[in-house]
Amino acid sequence: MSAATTTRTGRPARSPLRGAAGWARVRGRHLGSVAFFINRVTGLLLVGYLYLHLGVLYLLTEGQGSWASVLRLFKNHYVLGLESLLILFIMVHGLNGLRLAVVGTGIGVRHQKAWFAAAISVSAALYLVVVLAMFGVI
Amino acid sequence: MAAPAREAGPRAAATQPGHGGSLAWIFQVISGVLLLLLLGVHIVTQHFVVKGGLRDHAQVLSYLSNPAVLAVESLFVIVLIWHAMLGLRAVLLDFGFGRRGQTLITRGVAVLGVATAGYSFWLIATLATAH
Repeated sequence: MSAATTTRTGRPARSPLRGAAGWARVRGRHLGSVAFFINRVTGLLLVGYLYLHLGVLYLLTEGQGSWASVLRLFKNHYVLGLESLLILFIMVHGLNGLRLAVVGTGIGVRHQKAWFAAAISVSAALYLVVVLAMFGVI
Repeated sequence: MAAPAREAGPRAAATQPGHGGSLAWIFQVISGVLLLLLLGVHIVTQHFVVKGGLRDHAQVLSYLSNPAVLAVESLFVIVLIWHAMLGLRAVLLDFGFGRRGQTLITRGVAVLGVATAGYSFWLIATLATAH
């Protein structure tokens, strides 16, 4: 995102940190920039989770006892709550990412607010269904 | 407004020197769409169809001993790491480093991706052959 590496006057950012802060500043930004910021943050969180997940899966190689302790941990309601957030991040990142891809190719740019609303609404609805299923309500 | 609201896209990427051009963006979109499908399969088969949401040790080993499952999970790992590394690279490039810094980021992310894939395939192979 070129806006991220330039200042308000269009000059190059004075330091790399300021360049990165460009996409992190969401106040007063257009919806497209906010959606871009959401995708960056959820993407970074999901990369972090990838390494956590790979670390946990190592316990499978340690045998049945180690994996049983993981299964017990994942039955905890607080851990289930965190897992449900993971599902939310995946949905928001995935659907908003699709929207970014479509808008990025120049299709439906005028309707990007509607696309964004649809992506967030579908994510929220699916998240609700997943949470209800995870906690055994449905 | 701090800066014009712009989004990433092939045209935007092509005009940003050192940002990898539109090819990286196209790969990111293709891997993203593939991931939606593969992640959906992974989550449903690994968690939603299993009583209690997680397979026990014996169930995991039995599941991974199926060649079709092994192929899908391996493809999932490749696409996931590819997408994650391209995304990580894009975030790091936004720090606005110079040409040398950009090259270092690209190489560093490539090494991280290869190491992650190596570990993931070791894990899959170990579990698939343990049944």
